[in-house]
Amino acid sequence: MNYLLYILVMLEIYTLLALSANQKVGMSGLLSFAQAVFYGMGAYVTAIFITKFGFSYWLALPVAILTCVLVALLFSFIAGKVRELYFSLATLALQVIFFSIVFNWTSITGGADGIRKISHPAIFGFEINTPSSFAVFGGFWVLVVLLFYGWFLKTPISRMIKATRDDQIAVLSLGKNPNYYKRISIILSAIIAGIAGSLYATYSAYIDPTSFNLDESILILSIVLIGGAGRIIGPITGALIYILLPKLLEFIQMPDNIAANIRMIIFGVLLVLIVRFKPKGIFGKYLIQ
Amino acid sequence: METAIQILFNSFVSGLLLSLVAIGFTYIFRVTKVFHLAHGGIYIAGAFSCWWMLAKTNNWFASIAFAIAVVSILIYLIEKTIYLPLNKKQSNQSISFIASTGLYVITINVLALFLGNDKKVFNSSISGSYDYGSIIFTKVQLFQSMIAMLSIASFSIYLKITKSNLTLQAVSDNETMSKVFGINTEKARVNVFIVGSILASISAILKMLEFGMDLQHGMSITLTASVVIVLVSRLDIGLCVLFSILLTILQSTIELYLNPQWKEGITFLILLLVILFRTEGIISYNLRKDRL
Repeated sequence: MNYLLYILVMLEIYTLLALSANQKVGMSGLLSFAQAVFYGMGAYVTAIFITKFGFSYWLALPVAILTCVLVALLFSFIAGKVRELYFSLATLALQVIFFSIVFNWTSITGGADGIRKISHPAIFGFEINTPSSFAVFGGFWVLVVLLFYGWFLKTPISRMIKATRDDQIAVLSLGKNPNYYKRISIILSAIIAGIAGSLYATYSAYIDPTSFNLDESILILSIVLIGGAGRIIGPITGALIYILLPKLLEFIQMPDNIAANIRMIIFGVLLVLIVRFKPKGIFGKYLIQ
Repeated sequence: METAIQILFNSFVSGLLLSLVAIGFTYIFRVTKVFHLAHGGIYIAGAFSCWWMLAKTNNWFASIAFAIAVVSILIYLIEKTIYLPLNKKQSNQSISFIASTGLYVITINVLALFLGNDKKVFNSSISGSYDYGSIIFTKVQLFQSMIAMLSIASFSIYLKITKSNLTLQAVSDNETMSKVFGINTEKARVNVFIVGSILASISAILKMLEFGMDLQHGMSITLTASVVIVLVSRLDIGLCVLFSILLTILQSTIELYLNPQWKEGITFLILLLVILFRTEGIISYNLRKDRL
């Protein structure tokens, strides 16, 4: 039972991450290889403020979100300067720089050893420390984000974000600043990823840099592209495929020692097939350009 | 002084090995427009297949020939089944970049599945060193630099004899116009992929002679080579070699004065600054703004 709850919590975390990446990739057309930066930023800032400064989760979370927003502003500066492949390369560089910082700044981040003993969140004196309570807590955040999108996608700002994605020159001709809408999208994406990171840090009670490296960014991006970018159902489907794939491998009695590699091979093959034959992804609406 | 000479020599050797990867990567990127991240997977495939064959036959010649055959067939299949169809559909660079990322993930995990995740080491028969005071030149390093220089020279001569450089430059500048003028662009693409992959596998085998190799090294060296691509921004072997050596000198200096782990961060900081403030590269033709 605990294992199933663990799967559920991971599904919730990856759903949040996929939704955050979808905001950038699917809604704004910004192919970012640095989604794990915001995920890691959320996790590290939460962990540092809880373990070193004695903050509660509810105080550490806004600090984590604020930090993510500040880094998102740097990203939006990059998005304003370069486009397409060069934007992707710039984000890839930022991902490597971020990993280098968390790996080497040992006095703050704990370096390769990471940060241990991150305390769990509590609501009205009730500590969220069991798998079932975390599953509910994770579900709460997914619901909050989904409800937010239920509202946000109907707003004019959301339509302008998509318009910027589809035709930047048309947006300029309307007298609007495309970079402003890109900035909003990047900040929104950073906030959701920061929440996912914060949830992950308090759930696992231990974080280290390997959870936030380039491989993780590639994985998050793949989840969105396989599920389909530009719609809410796409990233959720992608996260479901990624999380449930190991269960399928268990079902066909795949030995544990090769299951991880098989999972990544299947994921890689899916990514290549999707790009080759169904570039919009399973449920996607937007074709990466 | 002696430390400086030692660093320069070590950087020179590492720079030559990096330049083999960077030359291939640069030619592939400029000619095909594919940001071929799977180059890292090809690099590892070359080294691991050579290691596997050597363990079976104990014959260096057969092992190197086998590695070259493996990477050539692998990249041929990738080009024909993935990259070329995407190119014909006029997919943009981001699409091929994503496909390449998927191919890298597949290659590395297939290798891990069949050959294991552990570090692979050659039982090299080249050992010993030449010592001048406290400066050490190992025989492996001298062998590496000799073979690397020979490979670079061979590639340059190949381009000169076949007059390929002009063809590749034409395809790089405008593929459609190249077709109009009778250039077989598909053949040019396949050639550049195969030659680039062979250069990468030679570099990988040479690197493996000294320290052995794990699966993660492919991504690391490919990312460093991508910095050279952005810095150089043109088809020029000499500049690729020069920038590769300069980059490894910088990395060695960082290793000496800071934690070795900072070297990738600082290398990519340079990449980021170049992308942001001089997207057309440090030494390059001026790109039109709409190509940025």
